[in-house]
Amino acid sequence: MYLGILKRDLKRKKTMNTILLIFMFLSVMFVSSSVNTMLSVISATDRFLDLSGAEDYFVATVGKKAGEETQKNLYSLDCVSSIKSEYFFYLNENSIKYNGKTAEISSNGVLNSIDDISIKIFDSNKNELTKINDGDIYVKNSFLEKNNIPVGAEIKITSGGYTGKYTIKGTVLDVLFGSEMMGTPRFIISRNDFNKFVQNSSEEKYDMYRGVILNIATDDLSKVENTVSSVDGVAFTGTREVIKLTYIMDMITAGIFLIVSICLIIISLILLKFTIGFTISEEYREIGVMKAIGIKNGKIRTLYMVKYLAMAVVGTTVGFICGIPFGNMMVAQSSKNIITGKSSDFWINLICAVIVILIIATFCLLSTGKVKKFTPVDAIRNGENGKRYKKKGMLNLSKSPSRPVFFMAVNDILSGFRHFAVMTVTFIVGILMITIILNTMSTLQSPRLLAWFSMADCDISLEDKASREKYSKLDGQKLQSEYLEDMEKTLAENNIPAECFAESLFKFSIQSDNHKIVSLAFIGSGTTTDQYAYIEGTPPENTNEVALSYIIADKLNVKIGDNVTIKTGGENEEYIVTALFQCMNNMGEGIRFSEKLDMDFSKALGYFSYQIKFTDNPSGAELNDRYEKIKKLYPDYTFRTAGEYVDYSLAGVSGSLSDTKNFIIIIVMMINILVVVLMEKSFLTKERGEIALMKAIGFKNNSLIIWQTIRTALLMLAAVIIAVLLTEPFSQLAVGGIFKMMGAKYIIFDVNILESYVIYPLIIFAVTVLAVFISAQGIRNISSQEVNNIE
Amino acid sequence: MKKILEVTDLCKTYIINKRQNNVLRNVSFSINKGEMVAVMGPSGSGKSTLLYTVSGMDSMTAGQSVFDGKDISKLSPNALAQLRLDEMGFIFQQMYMLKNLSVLDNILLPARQSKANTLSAKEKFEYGKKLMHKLGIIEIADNDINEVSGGQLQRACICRSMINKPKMIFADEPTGALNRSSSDEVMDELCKINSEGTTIMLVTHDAKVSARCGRVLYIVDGNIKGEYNTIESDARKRERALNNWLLEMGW
Repeated sequence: MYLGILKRDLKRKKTMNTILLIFMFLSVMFVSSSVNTMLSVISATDRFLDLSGAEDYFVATVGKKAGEETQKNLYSLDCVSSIKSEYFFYLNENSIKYNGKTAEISSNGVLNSIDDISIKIFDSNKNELTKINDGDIYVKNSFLEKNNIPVGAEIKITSGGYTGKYTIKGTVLDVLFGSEMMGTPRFIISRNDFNKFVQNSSEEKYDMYRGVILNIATDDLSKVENTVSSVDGVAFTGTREVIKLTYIMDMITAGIFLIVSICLIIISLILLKFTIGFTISEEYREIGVMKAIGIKNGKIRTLYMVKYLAMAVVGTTVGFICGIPFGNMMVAQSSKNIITGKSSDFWINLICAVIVILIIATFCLLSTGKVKKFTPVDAIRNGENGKRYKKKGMLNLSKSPSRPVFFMAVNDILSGFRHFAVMTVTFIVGILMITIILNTMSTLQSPRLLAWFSMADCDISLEDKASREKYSKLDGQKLQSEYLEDMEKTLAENNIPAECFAESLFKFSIQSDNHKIVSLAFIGSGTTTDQYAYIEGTPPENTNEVALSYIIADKLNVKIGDNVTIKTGGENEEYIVTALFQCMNNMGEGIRFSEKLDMDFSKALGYFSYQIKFTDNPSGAELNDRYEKIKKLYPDYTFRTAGEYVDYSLAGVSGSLSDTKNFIIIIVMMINILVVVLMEKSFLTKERGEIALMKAIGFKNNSLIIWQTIRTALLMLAAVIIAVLLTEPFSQLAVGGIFKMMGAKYIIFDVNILESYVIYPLIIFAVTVLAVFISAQGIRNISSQEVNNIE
Repeated sequence: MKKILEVTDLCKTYIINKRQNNVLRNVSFSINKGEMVAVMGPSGSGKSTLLYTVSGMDSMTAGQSVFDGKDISKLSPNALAQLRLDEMGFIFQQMYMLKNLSVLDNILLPARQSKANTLSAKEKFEYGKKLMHKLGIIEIADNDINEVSGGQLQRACICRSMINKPKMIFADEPTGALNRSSSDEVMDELCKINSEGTTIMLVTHDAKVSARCGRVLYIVDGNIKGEYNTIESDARKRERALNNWLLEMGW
């Protein structure tokens, strides 16, 4: 008999049962794919390092002496268990030619033989690359994208006096040089081809063009760090943690996918809870009848539990199958530069499916649990008895000036918000996903970020890539100041009142007590230290004062007022720490000197760029004129606005975030459309009688469709407002951590109000409202005669 | 007297499981303005189908139903909705009302939706209250629909059907869910409305209810088998005479 009841129930309530089945299927699909994405993302960089065979510490040295000395010193340490070395040729800005023109590499590059590389390199299909034919070359994908070079093209590489011609066979995933933050691209050729560079390179050119990368296994990083920092000619040092940090930009994208995953799980669970509660409330009348004829509570609950569990098994099986490709798509989108391991794990999908079935069972138990409390009459009255009757309507039409359709939409929401909460929460979560990513993108392109790159505020950056080290000589500071003054004069002559300045950078070892590290250091030309941003303290005004990034201060365990020792020249000098700042250069490590310090510029690694700050406040049109003038005045320099410079410094992460944004917008739209369509179907089923009644008393189809549409539109509008209010705290929570890892712990998000809070929410609003409008067309199929279906 | 509803050769056929079910077969009758006509007949005879088809709530398979000069079969769904809103009133057996609105708001709903009803919102509100007062339910104006009795609710439904001052009220078993005293109260109100000039067509099983109407149509198997005009002025005599006629019809 019970089986018969179930069979008929499944047939008769086709619409609601189908909706529940779809939500069950979606839940499993979202939960399993999201869990897979989360697991991939959380351990992605560690897994990539392990897969690549990266050890604990990397050192890159340039020149023969530095390489030999470093290796000798390291071999003498007991804590070092192995050192793998790979020799490379150094490539500068002019080393690579494509179609007769210089191909751009952001600073410099390295050329390796595939047989010498100490870590595993993977091709674009994520297979290990073990062999490269003579004449072929593999490169980093972003190098091809930046220079618009296709795979199969031919490039010429010159280093150490030899030039070779190579065909690009493909791109590589390279844990050490693969991140966008690691500006140095690696070019990999065969050993035979590499040997041609070695054979043609003279000993004199060794110091300029050759070096070694050491992959060191150790159990005492600080000992290794101290040893390496004492050697001159070390170009790069980094622990696994530093390598991981270079993937921070990929982690921003991955982190956003992590948020998307969490959001999808939340949406799935609330949808399930709502749909189960909703469908069971639809059964109350029948439950009441069964109770009235003497069927026990246990039997009734079992009957419905069997029904829902049977549906759960079907729904989760389909969701489990669909979750695999969907998960793969999410993982693939989450990072393009990292091998995240297996995309969708069968067992994870299976565990998620089982968990969702258990959750469904729990929701069913809770929902059917109410049955025990009701008398048969209560159940027939949809769970309400005289005592529990609550006031339904919150507003009075008689007191409202609005049209009935609008009034009913508002009144429905206020009278039964619980029914609409699931839609509202889904909308809020969806819009939050988009606004968070938009705010992150605009922050990453904001000129305000210059302060986090240890630069003073400016309008324009002019980069002279060809001679980045032209002031790296003893009197470089004076030469740079003179050039900047000259630049100011030229601009003034062209009616551009502006200040010109530049930021030079060095690498010094800094020590306090037993802590010693190597860090980037900055000194400004044409600026004063009060033009930079600090977290606390006062700018270093005197030559014996410095400001430290808080990460350096933490590492050295020093506070404002403490002394640190910095080896700026041959000698160790004592400096007083006067201020702390945050910066995103070199993963948050930085030292700022007073501009009054007479610095030995022969030690300068280079300077960022020439910066121009207009001293008046030019209008938009005037700004554009000036941009054009400056481009003409300095045609050899790369012109960037401050915002463009920030984006460039962050390796164009906002560009890759743009792809992520588009993907998320599509996901959010799909979810909204799905939720709205299914919820509207549920509402039309539940409100069939009322719709029929309104039709019977003369309401037209269009009025009723508008009523349903306005209801969802109002919820969407409320969701937009709530999401906008929640964006800032949720952005801090979601993305703030990633900025902190990069060295910026105090972050103020830059909000493009029009884009974040108007355009995109409006797009989502329009699509959602259109979806509900189309779904509500189902009203046309309800006959006024169905008035008899009203509860 | 001018006809308000003229039905000619009305047919209604349902196809259920590929089987044709002729519910109404060439039904013809007319109702004059100001009349109160009851439709009686055994269960399944097609009474409610007739009421809904002639009023345009349900489509007809063949025939014609002309309401106040308008051929209902030729009107679009929107025009029919407009007609129901502005010129017709409906009372159903169950006291169907919207849960989220108070009793008064349910009554006011068609008035607020109607553009033909040119009264201001305040005047509509006053008129709604006046109707409630007239039907003796003013005290439940602000109540929720689940806080009032069936009789009160059915009277509220009558108020709703009256709010746009319709030309005709269609009532499907208006007393079917009520006890005798509530039923009498509701019929008192309908008779009062009719005496004020509103035409009423009602479907009922109750001879006592039919006895209060000026004319009774008896329908069997989708056809009008007979028509009875009440002439007795005394209520008891009228009821007895109708019962006798119904017995003749096979009731």
